Amino acid sequence: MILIRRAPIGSERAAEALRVAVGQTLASQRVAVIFIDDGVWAATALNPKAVQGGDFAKPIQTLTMLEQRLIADADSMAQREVRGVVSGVEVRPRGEVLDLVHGADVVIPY
Amino acid sequence: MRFGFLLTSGCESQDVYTVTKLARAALGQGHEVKMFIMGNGVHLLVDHPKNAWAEGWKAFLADGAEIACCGSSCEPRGVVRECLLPGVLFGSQYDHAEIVSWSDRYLVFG
Repeated sequence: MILIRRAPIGSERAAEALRVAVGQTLASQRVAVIFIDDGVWAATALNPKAVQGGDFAKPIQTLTMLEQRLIADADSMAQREVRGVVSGVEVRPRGEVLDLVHGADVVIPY
Repeated sequence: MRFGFLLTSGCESQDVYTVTKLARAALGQGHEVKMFIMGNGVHLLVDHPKNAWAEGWKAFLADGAEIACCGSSCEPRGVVRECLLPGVLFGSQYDHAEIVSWSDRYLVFG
């Protein structure tokens, strides 16, 4: 599981995290990406060039095509008044997100 | 036990000190260690007399640890395969995924 906690603004960390997530699928592992706290911004339709956050749209599309789960934390979205996420990203309540984290074999926080 | 480490930060971070000490302690107790280094951490792997960490990595490799780094992180930072410390694998996210699969415990720093 890849945990994205920071905004993709002026930093390529979110894009790097998504690149790691795509890479993890190469070893036939199930991968889930959680967008939480300011990381929920990486699940929205931002312009990567404008925010200088690297390319996070393409890995999201790739993970969606590979049928890996991408989940945005509803509480984090509500706190930031984020009303929508890009296609392929599910919105789930905090409790469900925490259950997923708890059940993961490996958590890679970014 | 098999310990995997991910290091994404460079020499400006205390993470480097922490991860090397932890990894050496694990090796000292007979555990196996593999490390994947990406992001700004790849600068630490340059074979240069002014790289303060180089001797530590060499000893680490001599003790049986394996180190791989992310080629995609190296390229934009000007770190080419030929300038890496001997024994360090110029790898990819595939190698990262393999290390995650191999590990009993996977620790992330960065």
